[in-house]
Amino acid sequence: MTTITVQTMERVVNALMILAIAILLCMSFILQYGFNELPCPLCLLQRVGFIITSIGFMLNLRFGLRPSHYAITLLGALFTAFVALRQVALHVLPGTGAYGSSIFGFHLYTWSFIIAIGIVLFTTIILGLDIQYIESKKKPAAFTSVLHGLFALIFILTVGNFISTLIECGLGQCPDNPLHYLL
Amino acid sequence: MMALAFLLLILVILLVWFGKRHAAIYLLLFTLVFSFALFMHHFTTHLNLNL
Repeated sequence: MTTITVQTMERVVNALMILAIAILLCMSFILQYGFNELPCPLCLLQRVGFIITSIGFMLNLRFGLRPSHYAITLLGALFTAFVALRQVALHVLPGTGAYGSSIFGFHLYTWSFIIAIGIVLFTTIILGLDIQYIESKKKPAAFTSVLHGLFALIFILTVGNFISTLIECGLGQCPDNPLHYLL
Repeated sequence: MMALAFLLLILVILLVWFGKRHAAIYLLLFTLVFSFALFMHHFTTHLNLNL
């Protein structure tokens, strides 16, 4: 495989990862507003972690493929996994209850942990392809419209999260078990 | 406080979009540290530690 082919493939993979995280954030919004499941502080921190993860991929698309961008993705995914694991630990013992509804038998924080660990493993594999970092004279396809579309999608979702968090918690500390919106 | 983390992320996304790589990375790392501090605060208040 040539350098240019690998670079194009890596860019497509990065774009797909951003899209997957955008879908994940959309689903959390559907659950929040469609099923009236207010996010707890740990749920909000998991969203922050997923957005940081997507920004690592966005840096790759905007400035070219670099190990430092993948490092940001890994930091974001590890942070998400750490927060999700804390929430799993809070509810893992029988009789300690659970937070929110479950999908396919797992609660959202458990899914969050599984997905974050999956991102860590996948990113570790794709960042190891050394050929993608070789500078070639021929530039890979720019994906300009796709790139702007994905950036806009993540931007809108982050603004949405900012507004909904402001409505739910105001500028202070979020309640541990939120039952209604503050504003 | 949590809303501030999202506000910082909005700024980071705008910096990436407008091509300010270094500023975006530094602000992103600050956001990560800030989010971790929020997490640690949440974590320690639940442990009821006598430090």
